[in-house]
Amino acid sequence: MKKEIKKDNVKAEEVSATEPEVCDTAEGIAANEPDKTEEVAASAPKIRDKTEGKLYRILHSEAFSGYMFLLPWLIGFCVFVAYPIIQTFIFSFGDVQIRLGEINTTFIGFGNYAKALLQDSKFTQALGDYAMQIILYVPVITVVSLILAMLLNSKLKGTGFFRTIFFFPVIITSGPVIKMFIDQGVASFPGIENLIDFEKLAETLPQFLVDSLQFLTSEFIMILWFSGIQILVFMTGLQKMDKSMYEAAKIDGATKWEMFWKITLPALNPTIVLNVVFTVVMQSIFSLNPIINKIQTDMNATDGSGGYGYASAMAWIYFIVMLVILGVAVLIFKKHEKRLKTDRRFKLQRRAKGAKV
Amino acid sequence: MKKKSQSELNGQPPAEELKETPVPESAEQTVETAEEAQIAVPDGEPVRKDNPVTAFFKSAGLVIASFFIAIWTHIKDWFYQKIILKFKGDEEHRSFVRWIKDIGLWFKALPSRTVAFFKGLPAWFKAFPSRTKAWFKSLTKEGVKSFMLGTGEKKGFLQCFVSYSLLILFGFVYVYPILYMLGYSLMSPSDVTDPMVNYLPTSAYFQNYSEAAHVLNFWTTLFQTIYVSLLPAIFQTISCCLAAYGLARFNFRGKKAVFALIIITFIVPTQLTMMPQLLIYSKIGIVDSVFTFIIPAALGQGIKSAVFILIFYQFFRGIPDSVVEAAKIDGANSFQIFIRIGLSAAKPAILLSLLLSVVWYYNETVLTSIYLGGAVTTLPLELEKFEATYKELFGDAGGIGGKTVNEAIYMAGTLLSILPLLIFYFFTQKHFTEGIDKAGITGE
Repeated sequence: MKKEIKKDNVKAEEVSATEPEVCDTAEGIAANEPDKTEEVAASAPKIRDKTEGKLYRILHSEAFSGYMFLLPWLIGFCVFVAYPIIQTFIFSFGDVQIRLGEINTTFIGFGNYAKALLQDSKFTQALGDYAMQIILYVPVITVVSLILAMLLNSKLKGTGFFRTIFFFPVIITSGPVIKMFIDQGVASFPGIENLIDFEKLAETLPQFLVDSLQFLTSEFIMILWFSGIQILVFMTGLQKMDKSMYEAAKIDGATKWEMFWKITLPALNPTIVLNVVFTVVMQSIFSLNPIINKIQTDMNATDGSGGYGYASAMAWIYFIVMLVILGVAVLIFKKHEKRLKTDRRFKLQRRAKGAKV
Repeated sequence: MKKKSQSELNGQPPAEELKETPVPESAEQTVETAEEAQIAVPDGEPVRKDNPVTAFFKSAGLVIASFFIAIWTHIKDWFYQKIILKFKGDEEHRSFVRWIKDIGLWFKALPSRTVAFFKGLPAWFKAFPSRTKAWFKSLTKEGVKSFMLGTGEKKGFLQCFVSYSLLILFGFVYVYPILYMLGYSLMSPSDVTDPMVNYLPTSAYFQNYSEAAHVLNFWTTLFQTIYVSLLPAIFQTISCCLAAYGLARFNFRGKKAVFALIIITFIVPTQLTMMPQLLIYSKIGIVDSVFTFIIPAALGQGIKSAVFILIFYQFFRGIPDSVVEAAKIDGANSFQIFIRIGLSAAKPAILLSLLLSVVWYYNETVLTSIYLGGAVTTLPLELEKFEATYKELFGDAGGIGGKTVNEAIYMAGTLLSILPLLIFYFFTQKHFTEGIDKAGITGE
């Protein structure tokens, strides 16, 4: 990245260095630009002066155009993200009451946070459910989408059709639809309750494992439904892979299984991180998330139990929990990546030494 | 061919105008006719006055005619390519007419071919034993192994079998809920209660759909949903495109910081920004209108805008520097370069982001329920309160004959609410998958 930027800088300098010359020698070009000539006429009688003015240099610099392109986004960020986040942060430390459009905030310190974490069992319950959901969802979605991407990537006939099928849930997954499927019991395989006897499993396995297994089976299809985009991202990752590596490995006598673990997975690591982050965020935003309901009901509560302040505190706790989960997920994969990289480097070094000997 | 048609079309409208403009100067004249009259007739010529009624009809006819011509100019090329080419055919496309001819030839040759087939049958049976022998001989260990596991580039039977069975299994699992819902939604009330009827109804019972459509208030809600999802999607695409171009093609201080901010906008849950945003909207006075969606979208803060910015970023990075430099030397400013070069390079991304954001706005329920209040509803929102509405419409309030909502009707309602998206996807699925493919986001 840095090298590229440096190169670009050099190029930009070259261009800016050559620009005045071009204008000096070929006045026809300058005449073709009405904006510039007008500006020149307004500022100074000499044509050559136009590239020397400070304002001109700023207005025609690369950075200025970049900022101009980003301007709408930056305004939007300040108004709709930065300011609301700060406002929520302030709200979360107070008791907020809105009457007739006027906001009265009385500072109560960490009261809202204490209430959310220590007193409100519903919130901690929802938070636990959410964490559990993410921990179960992410590996399943990642693994399934990787398998499907590899299947689709093998040059079989009719993969386009299957790609269409695997992507279509992305189109229709909205809260009410998914809720309806789960309510009707369509979200799991038909008759899976008869196949697995959870009560018998509970005798041998710890309770939380059985619970999570039950949860997984009861919503398995819906979990699969969330992996449409991830499949496509994995597919592009697989297509971008260096094919010479596989050929080299084949010559060395590696089996396909080895090639998957030693070449495909390490090369796919950034894609996996991206997919994990994407999955976590999508799940956190999704409207069936237990916390979202809790926050929303409390936000609109007028009987003193909730209010904006309390809801803000809960939103902040939720955000921090989410960040922690994201950080842990990314750290796990990054560490894995580092290990794999050092592993490979070490092996290569050893091989090089062996060759010398 | 194209050039010719264009010149024709360019020539047509003015000629018509000249012919038909009798310079109406009456009270009913429209603005357009007045303008056209000024163009057509030079000053100082004696003005002939028309009967107001005939002038009105003439001007109306002129407007309609120019309207049709305008439409025709837009449609003609498309029409030509889509339909006429189908019949005429060219090197690439197999002609429709030839296709029909081929079918005719096939049927013509059918009798002689059947005769030949029956004539050849005895020989085939004669050669049968020797052929089976040869086949069994080829069943050596290596032969079977290469057939099962494949050799070199060719895929083995085993691998194909496993891959296809996995694909079909997963494909079925993906589609199963929809198929189940389709079957269930056609069940009559007696079928629903009958334990013997499981997946397929005894007969198709379409009243579920009519009732569900009535409960959802289908057409009105559908148009509102399209309105609420399409407008923000357009604005979001534009703003994300601009921001991504700024990031991808220019070097400036704080670029990395902006990237970090974009990722923050992606990660921050909506609950954190929802309440102050609502306060802002109520201060400006745009609560319960689409502007609560359009304004953030136009400023690059719509639903999952960060994803679109990243997609566009990938596309704009792919533009070769030499092209941009050449345009610069030709004297184009950065905005012109963006319009001419950037947008044409990012066409698949524009389509993808438009489609995806339409879908995501369509499916959004949390924000729609808060920002839009009850003023504008969407199909998913109506589906959320399906049961309550049903009770209101068909329930006990109507007297003794009150009905309770059964699952079949509920399923019909769900299917109706996702039906527009399914149709939408049926026509655009190629762009979805190819767009993501071309974007090449792999997380580097």
